[in-house]
Order: sequence, then structure tokens, then C-alpha cells
Amino acid sequence: MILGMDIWVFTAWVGTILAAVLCLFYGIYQWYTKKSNEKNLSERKNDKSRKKGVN
Amino acid sequence: MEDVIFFTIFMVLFAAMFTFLGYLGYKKTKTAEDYFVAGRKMGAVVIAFSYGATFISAVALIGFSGIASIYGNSILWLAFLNIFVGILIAFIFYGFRTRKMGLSLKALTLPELLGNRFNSTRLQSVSGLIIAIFMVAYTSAVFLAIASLFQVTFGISYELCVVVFTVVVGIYLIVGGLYAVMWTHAVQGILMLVGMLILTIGIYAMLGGIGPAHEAAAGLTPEILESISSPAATQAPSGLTSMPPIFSQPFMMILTLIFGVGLGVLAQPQLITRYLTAKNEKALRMAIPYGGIFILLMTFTAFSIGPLCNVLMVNNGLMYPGTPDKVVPLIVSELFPQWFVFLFLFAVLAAAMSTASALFHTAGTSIGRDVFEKGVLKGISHEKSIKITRIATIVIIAATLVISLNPLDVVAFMSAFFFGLMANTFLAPYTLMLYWKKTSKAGAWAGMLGGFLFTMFWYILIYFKSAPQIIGSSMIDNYLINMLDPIFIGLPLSFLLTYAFSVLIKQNKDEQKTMKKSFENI
Repeated sequence: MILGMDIWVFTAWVGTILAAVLCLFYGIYQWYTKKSNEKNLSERKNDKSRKKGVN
Repeated sequence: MEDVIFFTIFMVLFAAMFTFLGYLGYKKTKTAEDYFVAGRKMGAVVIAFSYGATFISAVALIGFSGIASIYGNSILWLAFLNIFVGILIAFIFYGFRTRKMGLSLKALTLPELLGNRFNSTRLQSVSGLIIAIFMVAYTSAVFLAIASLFQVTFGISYELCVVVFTVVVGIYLIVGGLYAVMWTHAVQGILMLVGMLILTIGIYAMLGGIGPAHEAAAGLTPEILESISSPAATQAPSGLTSMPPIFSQPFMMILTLIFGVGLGVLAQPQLITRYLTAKNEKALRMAIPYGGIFILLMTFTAFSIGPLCNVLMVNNGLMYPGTPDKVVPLIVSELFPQWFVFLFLFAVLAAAMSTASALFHTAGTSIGRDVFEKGVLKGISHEKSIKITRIATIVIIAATLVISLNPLDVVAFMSAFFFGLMANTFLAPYTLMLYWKKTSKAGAWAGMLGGFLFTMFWYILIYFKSAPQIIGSSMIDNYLINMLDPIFIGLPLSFLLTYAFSVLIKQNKDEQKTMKKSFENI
């Protein structure tokens, strides 16, 4: 028995929490990916405008 | 009397807030797209709360925690599927593609998506009709449950409760369309979250924390459970915190519940509509974490506390109430302070209202847009389209009211199996149309009708709960078969029929054209 539950029930108990954590990590991953994409985009834009300025 | 005054004040506040949101929705509703899919402008948080509040009804909160008080914590596998399948798989494998295909095909409902993808208005109308008929029964069962709960708690007549709840939901839905429905869902979702959180923390605190609470539940012998007349004495043979022996009757019951509801969620028209409301793909992606946490705090908590209610009844000298639906209300009314009794009741009411409003909206659009506008009155303006759907929604609400005031056994039967029926009817054509370009109109018809007819046949002639009510007894005596949810056979059959008929009767030129159009953005 783990935390008063047999192995199958405990697996379901932990599995449910892990599934929710997975959803959370998915959101965090999406948020960071979006942030870094935006950062890359703005850096590229800055590079382009700098090059235009030099030319 | 004091209770009735509190109820009236809370109900008036509730109704005023939702009517105000309905008015805001009305101001924003200019086009058919606004009314049907909230202008495709919804953000992540509102989508997640609306999806969760539609998914989790009062039946899930008090009904399933009551079922957990009989069969024990093994029902937690359903909570796992609710998040893993109901959120992760649903959004990642269905949500993104549904939204993109919906945009390409200008579809505002699931039947319209099917109809436009396969170039068949008849397919759209028949799907809409199936959805509307069974949704009316499902919605009336939701009202039946919540009105009974309020009748028992406040002593207000059942008829008055049904009329008040239906009118409140009807007003903000008809006036404000899906904007009002989704905004009210956000408010109702917060109330549900607060109610379930306090209930769960309170119950675990009363029993000394997670470990001691589960150990106390595990320590309840059949004799102790028998002493409070709990059905768990016979239905949880290995204990409340252990899985029942494989292929025993309780095991089959849990298996049926877990897969019937756990997989059925993927093809619920009222949930699929939420994908179509997203303002962009990012909103859908970001709805996943909010949705996951929301469902965790709803079903995981409800299914965890169910078995613990037996411990509380034993410790406090309470007897198991007649039906499992009354277990959590009994614990709340006997062991929690009065302010929480009100909060909990309104949280359950919020759960019922949110599910009912989504069902009314989907059923109304199914009849108004899918059956009448596309099947009967073709090529009408946006304004007329909204008007027809509003009239159809009023008809649906009136039908639900009549059925709720005169409840029939068949209603409970139709509503209890709504999830399974929708899954067996729509999941195969819906999945294959999203992922397999060669899916043809003939395949979609075969999968849809094959799944629907098989499910009806199974429920009427075989299934252990429904067959005895309809034909006297199940045609198959073996419980390993008659306790099996039709999803185990109906879903593979529906997939097979969709595939086989798509191979046998291939797409014609018109279908190929719409197929290419539907995959434009994917």
C-alpha cells in the first residue's frame, strides 16, 4: 500500500497529477517557445534595419 | 424560511449577473459567426474554463463522487483519462485541426463541418437532428438532478426550481449567444473551483491529511460498511482504495464508466464548438494548461473524496443515504458550516447551468442552422440565420422544460448514455475526416449510421442497465458481455465501416474539391 492505496489505484492517482503537470509543462513550453520566437524575430528586424542604415 | 430567503437573494444576484453578461453578449453579436462561435475571438483562459465547465456537469461533481463512494478510488482512472484524453489528446490531436478545417470550410458547428467536408447538406441535417434529440434529454436530466438537490435542501417545489433555472439560462443564452455562454462559463468555473477546493481540503483536513484519510478508507471492512448500509460493502470487494478483482462485476462497472466517458469526450459536439471559438492556434495551445488544472481540481477531487465520505459517515454516526447522488450533499449539509452549504449548492448549480447552457446552444444551433437553415431554408441572410437559431433555441428550451416537468424513465436512459452514443456516432467520421484525405461521403454515412444503430441496438437489447428497463431482460446473460460499454465494439465498428466504405465508394470530383479546400491550412 502506498499512501493507503494499492499499486493500481496509486498509479491512477499519480498518473492524474502527472497528466495535469504535463499540461502545465506544455503551456510553459509553448510560452517560452513563443517568447524566444518573438525575440528572434525582433533581433532579425533590428539586424535588417541596422544593415539598411549602414548601406 | 431563512434558507428560502438566502436562496432567493443568491438566485436573484446570480440571474442579474448572468443577464448582464447576456446583454454584453447581445451588444457584441452582429453576425452569425458571433452568435455561433463567439466571433472566433476567444482567448485561452475563457476557452479553457468554458470547455471545462461544459465538460463537468453537476452529474460529474455529485453523481460521480457518489459512484466513487460505492466502487472506491479505482474510478480515479477516469480522472486520469479526463485530463490525458479529455484535454491533452483532445486539444493537440483534434482541437488544432478542427479549428483550421472549420476556418477553411467556414463551418460553425460539428454537423456543418461534416456536411461541408463531405459536400452533403443531408449529412449535416441528419447529424444535427441526432444531436438535438439526445441533447434535449441530456439537458433535462441535468436540470432534474439539480432541481431535486435544491428541493431537498431548501424545500422549494421541484417545478419552481426547474422553471427558474431554465428561464435564467434561457434568457442569457438567447439574448447573448455564445459570447454570453462562454463569459458566464468563466464565472461559473471559478465558483466550481472554489467550491470543490474547499470541499476537498475540508474533507482531507477532517481525516488528518492524505495518507491517514486513505488508510482510514482502506481500513473499512465490509462489516463496518454494512453497518452504515453502504453499497461499498459488496461493490468494493478489495476495499475502497484497491482495484476490484479483474473481470468481477465491480471491475466491469468501472471499466465501462472509465472508457465510456473517458473516450467519449473526444466527440462531444458541445465541446468541439469550443475549438472553433479560438482567436488563433496559440489560444488553443495555451488553453491546455488551464484546462488540465481545471479538470484536475474538478474530477480528481470529486473522485478522491467519494470513498472518504464512507469514513466520515462511520465516524459521525451517519447512515448511507438511499442513492449515491445524495452522499456528498449529505456530508456537506451535516459536517460543513452553513455558509459553505450555500457556496457548495451554488457551485453545483453553476456546474449544472454551464453544462445546460452549452447543451441548449448546441442543440439550438443543430436544429436552427443544421436542420432548418441548411436543410430546409437555403441561402438566407446572417440576420435571419441568427433569428431562426434563436427561435429553435426557444423551442429546445421549451421541450426541455416540458420533459423536466414530466420526467420519463427513457430520459434518464438517453442522458446516461449520451457520451457513448455521440462517440460511437461521430468519432470515427470526425477523426478520419481530419486525418485521412481519402475519407468519402459514403464512408462518413456508413460510420455514423453504423455506430449510431449499433449503440441503440446494444442499449435496447443487451446493456445490463437499460435492456431490463426496455425489454424486460438483457438478451445475453453473461455479465462480461452485457456490462460492456458499447464503445468497446461500436467505436471499432464505426471506424471499420468508415474506412471500408471510403475504400469501396470513393470520393467523386465535388468531394475531392472540398477535401482539397478543407486541407488548405493544415
